[in-house]
Amino acid sequence: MIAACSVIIGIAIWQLGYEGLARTYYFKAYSINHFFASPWQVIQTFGELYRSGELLRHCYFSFLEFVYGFSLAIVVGIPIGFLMAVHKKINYYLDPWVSCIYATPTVALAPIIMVWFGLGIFPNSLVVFLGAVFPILLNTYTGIKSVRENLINVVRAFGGSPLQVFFKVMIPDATPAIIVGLRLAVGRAVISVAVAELFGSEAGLGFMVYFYSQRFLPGPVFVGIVVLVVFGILSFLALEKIQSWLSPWYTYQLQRQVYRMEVE
Amino acid sequence: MSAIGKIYRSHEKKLDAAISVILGVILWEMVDSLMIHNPLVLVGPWGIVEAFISLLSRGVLARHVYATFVEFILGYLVGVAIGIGLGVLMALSRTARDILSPWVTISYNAPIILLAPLFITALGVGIASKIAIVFIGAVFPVLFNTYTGMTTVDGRLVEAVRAFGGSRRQIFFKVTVPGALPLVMTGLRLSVGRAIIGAIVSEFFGSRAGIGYLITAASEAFRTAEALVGVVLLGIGGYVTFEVLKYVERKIAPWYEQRV
Repeated sequence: MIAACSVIIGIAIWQLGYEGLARTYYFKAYSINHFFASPWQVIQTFGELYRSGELLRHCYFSFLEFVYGFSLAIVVGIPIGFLMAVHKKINYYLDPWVSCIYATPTVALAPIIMVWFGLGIFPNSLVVFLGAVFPILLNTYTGIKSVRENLINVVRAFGGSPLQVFFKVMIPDATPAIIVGLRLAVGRAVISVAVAELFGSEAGLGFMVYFYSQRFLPGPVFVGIVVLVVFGILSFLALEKIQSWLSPWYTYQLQRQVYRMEVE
Repeated sequence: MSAIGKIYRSHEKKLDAAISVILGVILWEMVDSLMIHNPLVLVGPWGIVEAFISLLSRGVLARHVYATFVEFILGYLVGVAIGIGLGVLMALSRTARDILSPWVTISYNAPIILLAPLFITALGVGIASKIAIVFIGAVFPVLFNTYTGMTTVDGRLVEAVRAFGGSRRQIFFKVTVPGALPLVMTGLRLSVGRAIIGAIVSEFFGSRAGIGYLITAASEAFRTAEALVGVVLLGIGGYVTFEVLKYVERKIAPWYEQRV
């Protein structure tokens, strides 16, 4: 309730402040309207971009890149994380590479990837993949590693097969951590989509932002950011929903522990 | 044999890592020089080292590293100071929390990096726009983690101190602050990554120096080796800062159990 009030009042202050500023000398002198837009202008721009179909086209491209890159990151990240967790040798061999690349800001590779693969959806998806795969991989690893040993022993003691151990214990017990990894990865993937498109592409929200900011039109820039924020929040909520559906036993006690994993 | 086997087993992890890195580098070099010999497409490790030496000897590298370092450190320090301050304020005051929390949540999750082109048009291609973007990248993880750390301190500890007649002040300094420290440190570490991304991406768009500038300028001129030197340097820089902060964390909060 108070949160909603705070947002509304904040937006009102932004709007009024902008209009108040627009009457002053400094506004013209520093051409502030080239860098900053009022909420009302953002809404108007949104309407214009929506009606012309431009916004949907950009959203479509960005969404495709996100989906391709993110799915590939899941398909690659979860199995490798799992293998690293259950097989000591694989872990020892892959660990230096994973931690090296994880420490590198992968968006820095975007210009080089453009040189290698050109412009378009595929290279951008690759940047998204690089950004998203490591949080997923590392959280799967941590999740499987921290599966409670006594649960596995119980299933084994009662004659459970390795397959049963895998499906009945490991997967369910690791699910919260994996989902935290997915959540982290969503944030990184959104940033990667944006940066990859800012760079080299013919469409997409990042492209839209860059295109208009170079023409000193701040309205579409803010529209692009708002759309990505809404997308980020929606996917966050969706993952939370999936989490409470897949692992309803996940409680507050675990939360801080997993939160720590999340931020590692 | 058994002696070697014994040594191998006692340092298995480190030796395997070394073997893996050496094998990987040799394979990479072999693919580069025997199969795909095209400096546009693939650059072997030796090519990167050569480019590094050449950049270093021309004095170009030092200039770029220095520019990025200054942007990073100024934006990061201001971000950390303000982030911790606001985080503590939000944890202590209900009003501040209610007012700020929606904005913080939105900004923490928003790809604010998209504002970079706008900042550059507003503040110019100089250092000011980069510091602003690094600041925005660094401030929210610290803020968020300081706040989370201070509000999720174990309630039983607070009750214990209170039961033995501890004052509010004592609770704050003896329980809340030490309890929050590990998460604050984690926030500092997270911020490093975001701050580096902020510095690099803002240099991509308009700058005259910096590692991000080096990467774009080199890849636009199809000098892939030089661009990869930039990426490798960033990786090393990120890794070193990360490890230093981890070490500091272990020193100041040794009671906090390491992750599994």
